[in-house]
Amino acid sequence: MKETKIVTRDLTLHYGQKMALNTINIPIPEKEVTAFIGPSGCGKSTFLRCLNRMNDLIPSVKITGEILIDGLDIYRKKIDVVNLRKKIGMVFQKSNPFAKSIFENVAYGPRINGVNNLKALTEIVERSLKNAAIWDEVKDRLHDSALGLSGGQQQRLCIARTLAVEPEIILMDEPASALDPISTGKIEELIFELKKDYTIVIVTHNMQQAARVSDHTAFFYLGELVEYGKTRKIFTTPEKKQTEEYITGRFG
Amino acid sequence: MKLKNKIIGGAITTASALSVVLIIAIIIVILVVTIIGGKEKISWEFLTAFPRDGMMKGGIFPAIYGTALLVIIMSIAAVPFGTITAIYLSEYAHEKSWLAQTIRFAVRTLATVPSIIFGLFGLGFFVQFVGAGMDNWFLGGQLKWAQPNLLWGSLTMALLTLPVVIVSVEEAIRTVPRELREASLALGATKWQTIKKVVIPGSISGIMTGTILAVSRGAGEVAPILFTGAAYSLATLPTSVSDQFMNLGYHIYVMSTQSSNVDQTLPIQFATTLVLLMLTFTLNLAAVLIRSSLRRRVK
Amino acid sequence: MERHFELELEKLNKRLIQMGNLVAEQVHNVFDALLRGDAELAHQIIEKDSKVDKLDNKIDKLCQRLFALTQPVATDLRLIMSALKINNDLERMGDHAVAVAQKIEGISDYHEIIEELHIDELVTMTDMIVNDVITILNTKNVAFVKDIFDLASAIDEKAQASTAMIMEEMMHKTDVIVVATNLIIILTNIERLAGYSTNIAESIVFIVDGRIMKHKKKTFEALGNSGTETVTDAGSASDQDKDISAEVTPS
Repeated sequence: MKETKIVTRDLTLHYGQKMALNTINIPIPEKEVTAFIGPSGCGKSTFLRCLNRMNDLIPSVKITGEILIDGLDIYRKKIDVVNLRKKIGMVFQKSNPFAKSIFENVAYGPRINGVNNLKALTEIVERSLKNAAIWDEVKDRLHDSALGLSGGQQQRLCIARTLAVEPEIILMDEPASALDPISTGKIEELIFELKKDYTIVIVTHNMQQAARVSDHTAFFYLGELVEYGKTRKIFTTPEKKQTEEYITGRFG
Repeated sequence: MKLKNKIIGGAITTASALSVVLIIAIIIVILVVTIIGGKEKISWEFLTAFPRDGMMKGGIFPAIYGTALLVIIMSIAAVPFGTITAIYLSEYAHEKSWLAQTIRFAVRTLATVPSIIFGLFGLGFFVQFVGAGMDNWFLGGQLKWAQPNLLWGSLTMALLTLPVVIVSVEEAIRTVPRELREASLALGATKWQTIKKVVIPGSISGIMTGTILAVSRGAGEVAPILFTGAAYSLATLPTSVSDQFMNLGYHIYVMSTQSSNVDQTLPIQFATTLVLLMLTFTLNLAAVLIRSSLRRRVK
Repeated sequence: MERHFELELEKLNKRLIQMGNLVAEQVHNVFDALLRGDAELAHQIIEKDSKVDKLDNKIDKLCQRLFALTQPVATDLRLIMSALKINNDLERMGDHAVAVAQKIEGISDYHEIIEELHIDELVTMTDMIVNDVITILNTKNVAFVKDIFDLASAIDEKAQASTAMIMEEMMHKTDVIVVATNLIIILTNIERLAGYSTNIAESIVFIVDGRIMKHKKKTFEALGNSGTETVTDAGSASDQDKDISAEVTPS
């Protein structure tokens, strides 16, 4: 039985007057893949962005409740948000490499953390690119611009960039939604590899992807957590009727 | 119906073409007149020698030198300050905050102020207030700073070009996509690290553009330096910022209105104008080249 | 690099083969026990059936999970669909082996009848057909599948002949009725073993070629030419289950 890495308690979020998340209580186990599914606007991306406090960037957001990571509330007063974000990596829906070389993109995180020694950086960059399953494709052009890569490659580069900071948790917000099926497949295989070392939380609007890739699935609807359980149970014998209707495509 | 559209389309195309031709024609006319009027005077000596015989012989080197110094000091004053203000406005200030709105209002207003007002302001504030204050505080009343000089002239010009810098830098910063900022923050960078390593490099071409635009204006404007530092005839080059300086634009103005031999110095006026035009043209060309090479590097 | 779901499918294949081997072993042992009258071995076979049942459940669950979580298509889909059928057939075969084991004690009094009726030949043929089909399950090589059907026909004939002889005996010697009945039951179960073997063979052909074998005769001809008879006709189920009553009824 895996440890719980993250747990939320009565997490509620408002955008101004509008409630986007309603009293979410959910555990996220360590070194497993947890998927959030649900129709557009159900709050799953919003929830994801609470985990690394990216919602802080939006001025009208108000959050109540707790999010405990390794037992500590990340919304407590004295928390260092910058440090928190080093522990939690994020991969976005549309790949967003910097307008720098491939090497510099991956080295960005370590450089921020004070690593300036070229040898050390080179090691980190190579290791991260290998772990993101893209080393072979870019090893001969590390100093070319990252913008010259294809969409799928850019996304794997962004994953490598995240890995370079050695987080414990990786958040993925619909990482493959802008990619073709082959690239999507590569990313899914990568997730299987990564979960050996990282806790992964993935938001996806593609249910089949959630079924293929995750160990646990949470179904969100209109800001509420409708059902949460082992993926194989959710997709064979879901408990709530709403869940069944959503995953069989009856609505949403 | 289709015919009507065709006629209107044709008319607009013709009008646009005509206005382009007109503009180019005007530029050509100016260039031609200037070249014809001044070509006899253009020489290496003209560009590198001091004026002699009451501006009738010799060259305009001090004016070129003075203009260059003015522009350099003005840029040093305006660009960093303007960039920092732009960064503050776009990255740190809340959209609706009182301070941000005040700054924006001030910038907009400043951009519409006639340049002669800047000149008067420079005289009253820099020369007579700050300069006099400095003389009293540091030099015990001795007259050194309370008079027109390179420093006050440059600062006054800097005020004029500040809005240009702020606006173009802010525009450039806004073109850096939000996703890049988010990516940086999600990696555990602080806001300032994000600005330093992602936003500024990403908007560098805009910063260059703003700088060059400011420099172009600074090279050409005369009114702000009328009372704050420009002089017509100086025997020596300025050696410190407390010296006065000669200036191309000012030189043309004085020569064409107040000199004793307006007709005789006409060729010199044309030649000086030509030099100023070439200078401005070169600056703008440099801006375009720098910007496109920066863009190419980024892609 | 193998995809994750490919590993899962391999796991299914392995489990299926494991089940096949287990059942083939049970069948072989029960024939051994039958021929030697070994009641002890018969008892062990009955005990071991629980293992067969457990494996049956495991395979069912695995198939359900694969369907739900991996959206299989083409060969993968056929593999999982067939795995469910083959699993079922194997489990039934296991039950039939147990049924034979249960009757071994019941014929111990009149053991000579086994030699008289050349049951050993029948048993050898059935053992062979079971082993052949499990081999094909392993290799997925359907080149000689025709042999299995031929063998099944031969087993049918022989079993029916033996049954007729027993019925003959029963009419003349009433004191052998109990033994004879038990023997008939054993023969019936042996026939079912052959029947299920052909079922499994058909399922394997479906996995490999996508052909649903509706009528054996057509299939033999089709197997001669490399059939372009790819089937999408999922509606007509292939009914290969032989009706017990049809065989036992004397012609």
